[in-house]
Parts: sequence; structure tokens; C-alpha cells
Amino acid sequence: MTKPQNESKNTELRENQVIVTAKRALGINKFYIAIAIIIGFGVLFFLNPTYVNLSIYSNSSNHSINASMDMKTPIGGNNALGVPLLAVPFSVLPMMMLTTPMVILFVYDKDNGVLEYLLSLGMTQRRIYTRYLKAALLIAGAYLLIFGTLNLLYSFVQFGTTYLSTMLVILGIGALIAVSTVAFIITMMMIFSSLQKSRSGGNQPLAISLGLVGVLPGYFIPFILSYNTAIVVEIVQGAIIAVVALSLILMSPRLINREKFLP
Amino acid sequence: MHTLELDNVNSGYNGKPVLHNISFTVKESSVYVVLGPNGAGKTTLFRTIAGIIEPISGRILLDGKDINSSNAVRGDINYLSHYNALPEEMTVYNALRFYAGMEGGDPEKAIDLLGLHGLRDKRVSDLSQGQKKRVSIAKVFLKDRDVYLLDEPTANLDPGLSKEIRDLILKISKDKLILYSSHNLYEATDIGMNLILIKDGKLALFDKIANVRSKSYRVGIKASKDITKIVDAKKDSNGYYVLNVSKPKEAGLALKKIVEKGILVTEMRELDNPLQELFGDGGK
Repeated sequence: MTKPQNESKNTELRENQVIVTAKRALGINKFYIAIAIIIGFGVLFFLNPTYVNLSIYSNSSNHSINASMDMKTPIGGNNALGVPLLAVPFSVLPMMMLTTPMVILFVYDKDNGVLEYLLSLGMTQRRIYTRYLKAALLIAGAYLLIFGTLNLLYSFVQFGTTYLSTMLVILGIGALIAVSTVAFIITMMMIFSSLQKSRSGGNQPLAISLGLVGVLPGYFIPFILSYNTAIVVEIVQGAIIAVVALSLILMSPRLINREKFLP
Repeated sequence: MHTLELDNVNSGYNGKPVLHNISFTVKESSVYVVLGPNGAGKTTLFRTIAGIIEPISGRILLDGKDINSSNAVRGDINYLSHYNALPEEMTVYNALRFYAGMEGGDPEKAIDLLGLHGLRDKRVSDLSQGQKKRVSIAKVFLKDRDVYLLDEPTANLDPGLSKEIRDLILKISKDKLILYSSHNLYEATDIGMNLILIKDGKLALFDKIANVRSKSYRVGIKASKDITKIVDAKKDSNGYYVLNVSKPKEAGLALKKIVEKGILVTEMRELDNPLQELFGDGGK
């Protein structure tokens, strides 16, 4: 075999490692994927339209109930509450469910000696975590793309272009918080799994609970802040979660000894 | 030719040392049997050399370069663990491809080397323990390395396959450094030329296996008639007349006496492995 052919074969073998990991996670447990899809459709058909419409009632100065009926009143304005953003934390829930198969895969790979072998290949703790994290983010990204598009299409079909800008804001902030929360949960769960001396099974609920704590402000902010302020606060919230997750990943070689990856 | 040097290595888990002041140098391409009872520290030694765990103190040098200094140096070493480390949901080919994607190498070559053609499209989860072990070994030979650390590679394999694997390793060892751990004394004498004995986390012996001499030998003889009146032997439950001698020559003299009495000797063998006493206090 000639050198270029070899190189092409190696490239073919080397590429898609993240995709391979994502596929493995999706194949290892389909229950959580089914739950995520069900919640995703629930958010699509009920929650997003409901919260977007509810915003009309929360806006006492700029809009009227009548205005909401004709579905043509733009949302926002300095005095309007951020009620539509209540859809954001709900949009994040399915992606939190999608993190679970990745953590199951991580624990499985740890118990089966795969992580030990990756260490023997010279991978650092950070590289190993990043590998699973990227795959989790790929799954979350695929979900966001599919359900984001469906959300926009549904909104367009139901309400025309009236709420498209609001939907885009919800989806944008939702994507930011979802990606950062997924990164945070995955990182925390992997760290918990690494630190466990024996399988106790408590890492998933613990990390998801911590993830929920990160998402929790999203349920209150829309009721106490104006729409525009709520957008800024939620962007900051997403950024903080992302920074915490990133810091944990960067510090992982110091935080977690290599032997914690051994079966 | 490559040189692997361990310089006063202390290593263990969570800061607690399992290995104490291990120092040795291997230069000659060969199979080095790392022998020791369970819990002696063989796996910890391999994990430390493979760079999986960092030594608490001391250095591990491959051709003069610290293995913990760069991935390139560690890339010359490959490690076969007790654990198969195979993605069970994949086929054999895809599992090898999965690793080839990370470390390079050719899955087809590894399949050829271990004779895995019949298993190629089977899911790893459907394989027997022995078959999984073969695939796991194939994974280690995906890419050509200078040093192989094989931690009990024939565990879970039937005797025929164990022999095949040992023959393969011997073939490869012509220009490689191979550290091969075992607690099976007979396997050690079958494959190894050199012995690294680990006991209680310390290096108890580093020598050629040929230089290991037993203090006493138990020789088993199967004969057509009772020989207990001719030589000082006792019959055991396996039908052997057991003779204790201090030198191999004494066994020969005993055989001569028996044959001179017109008794047919059908079998004569050493009942204990000369390495056996190393597991006791003899190796200290």
C-alpha cells in the first residue's frame, strides 16, 4: 500500500472519534433518549406557545388582553416581564436527560478498563474528559438543531411571524444555557464517577441536581425582571455555568489523579 | 536495541506506595517474566511503566528519556491490562478500528496476527472470555511498539491458545522488550529467559531464569514395581514414587539403581518448578 493510501486510511480511522463516542452513548441506553424526545415535543407543542402567549398578560402597560387575541402584538419593551423566557429552563430539560447515556458510557468505560487503556496511550485526564464532553455536546447540538428548527416551524405555522423573534431569543438563550449546563453536568458526573471508590450509583442524580440548581434561576427570573433585563441576566447565568464547567475541565489533571480512572 | 531503566521507583495509589525502591535496567531484546504472588505489585509496576500512574518518586527512562516527560516516549510502550478494555457493543473489527483511530495501526494486520478472521464481524459481547482476551491482545499489537507490558496475557485462555499466544510473543520478542507478568511458574519457565521477581512491592530478584537453581528437587517416578526398598521414596496419591534429592545428579543415580534391579521406569519428572521456592522465603 502506498504512503498516500496509508495516510488516507489513517485519516479515515482517526476522524469521527467524537461521533463514535456519541453513537456509543446513544446505543448504550435508549430510555433517556426516548424521555428527552417526549419532553422535547411537550415543550414544542405546549410550553413554548403557552409561555409566549402568557407574556401578553404579564405586560400591564404596553399590551392588552385583546391584543393577545389577534396574535400580532410584539413582545418585549422595557416594562414587559420576561415571562416568555420561562420556556428556556423547560427547553433545557431534555438535554439534561440526554447527558445520562454519556455518563453511563463513561462509567462503563471506566469499569471495563477502556479509560485505563486511554491513559496508557498517553491521554491526560483532561483529554479523556473532553472526549466525552465533546460527544455529549454533539448530541445536545443535534437535539438543539432538530428541535430548534421544529420550534420555529411550529411557531411560524401557528402564529405566523409574530413570535418568531421571541422564539429565536428563547432558543438562543436556551441553547447557551443548555450547552453550558450539559457541559457542567457531564463534567460533574465524570468527576463524581472518577472519585467513587466503588459504584454507588449516586453520581447521576447528584450531578443532575446540581445542573438543576444552575437552571433554577430560569424559573424565577422571568417573573421578577423585565424582558430585556431577564435576557441579559440569563445570558450571564449561562456564561457563568460554562466558565465553571470549563474551569473544572482545565483543572481536572490537578483535581483528579490518574488512578481515579482505573477500574 | 532499547533500554528501559527504572531508577529507585516508588509508586502506588492515592499517595500510598505499593512499590518500594524498584531499580533495574533491561537492555537486551527478550521476554522478561515479572513473577510474583498475587498482590505483590506486578500490575502496579506495569501501570507505572505504562505511565498510567505517576511514580511517587524515582524515574522511568526509555532510551534515556523519562516516560512521563512526553507522550511520544509513552507512545513507544503498550500495555495489556487484566481488563479487556473492549467496547462490548461493537464488532471485533470495529473495536479494533476504534483503537486504531486513536493510536494508529491497522486492524486488518492485528486480525491476521491473532487469527481473528472468524470473529471479525461478531459483537464483542457475544464472545467467550478467551475470545475477548485474544481480541484484547490484538488491540495491543495494532501498532508496532518498542516495549510491550503484558499483564497475565494468557489468563482465561485454554492451554492450546495460551501456547499459541506465548509462541507469538516469543516471535515478536526478537527485537522488542517484553515484560510479561505471571504468577504461573510453569508458564514463566516456558516463555521467559529473564526473571524479575516482585515480592511485597520490592524487587526480590533480577536474573536469568537459567541461573535460578533449586535448593532441593522432588522427583516423581512411575515404575512397574515397588521401588521404596531400593531408593528412599514414598508413593503419592498420583501414583508417583516421590524422591527428594539435593542435586539433579542424585536423581540419575537413583534411576540407575532402579533400572539395575530390572524394574521398568515408565516416567520420571521433576514435580516442583525450580521457581516455586522463590514464592516463599527463598527469593528474599
